Amino acid sequence: MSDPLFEARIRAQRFWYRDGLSEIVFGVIILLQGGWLFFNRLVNSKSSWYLPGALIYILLLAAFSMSVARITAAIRERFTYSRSGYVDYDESVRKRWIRARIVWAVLAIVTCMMFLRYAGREGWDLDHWIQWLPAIGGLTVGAVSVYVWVRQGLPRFLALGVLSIILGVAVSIEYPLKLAMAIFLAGIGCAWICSGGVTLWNYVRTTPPSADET
Amino acid sequence: MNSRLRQIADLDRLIHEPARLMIAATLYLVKEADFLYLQNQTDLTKGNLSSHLAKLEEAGYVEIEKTYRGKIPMTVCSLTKKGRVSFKAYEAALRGALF
Repeated sequence: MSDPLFEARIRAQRFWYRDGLSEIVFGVIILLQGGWLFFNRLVNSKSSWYLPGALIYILLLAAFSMSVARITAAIRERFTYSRSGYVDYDESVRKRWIRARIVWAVLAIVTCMMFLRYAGREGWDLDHWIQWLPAIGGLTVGAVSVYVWVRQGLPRFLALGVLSIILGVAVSIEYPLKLAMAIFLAGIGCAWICSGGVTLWNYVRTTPPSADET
Repeated sequence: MNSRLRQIADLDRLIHEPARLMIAATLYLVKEADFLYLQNQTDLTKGNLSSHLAKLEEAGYVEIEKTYRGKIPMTVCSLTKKGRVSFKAYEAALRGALF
């Protein structure tokens, strides 16, 4: 028998994905990384364009990081709270999310270190394996997306996950590492922005705002 | 009479009422939520939700704060410590009696 409290918790968490804003934010961050890699490929580090470009990139990233929380809150205040109401999550939920992210990061670092140590000992050609970085990135983003799909029951995350895996593997096979990584990040960033944008547009279109007290 | 089943008679009747149980369960899972969110989650009418919230507030289970979002009034509700303890005890008693 399913636990009604657990289902209610999932419903409350699903509310977070309702307006697509979290996907747009993630997409912009990834797109900025992809853009930086493209810039590095197009402009030589000795070129006079490199330093201004690098500064613009750093400024853009810093401005986005500093203002993203405020912008998201302002958009939510304007569009989301008047349509589906305001909710703030319990501290324990937030702490659990942070804990889960730390565990994922530590696992990824430990796996990489173990792999490098093993590969070094066995005399493997590391360049050959590093070429598969976009595929590993695709699998990681895909796994997280599929997890969100299974847990929250939102099919768009399945599509995003499948796309990440296909794109990661395809660019790893087809292009040299730096270009492959740039295409992968730009592609994933655009996909998440599009998914979030369509979700937001659909949400604003189908959910009328409440004019009364909220 | 079965002693486990007898626990049902001791359930907190303030929370046991279905509408208030929905409100308490919703607030138990979040830090705070506004009136519209509660209405969407519980499907209660405005009047019904208001009166049940008032009862929960009177018992000290819910804290209600009236603020403004721009020019629109906003009612933010959260479960108090007493409310959380009571809901947890209610849940445990119900699970103990039925499962």
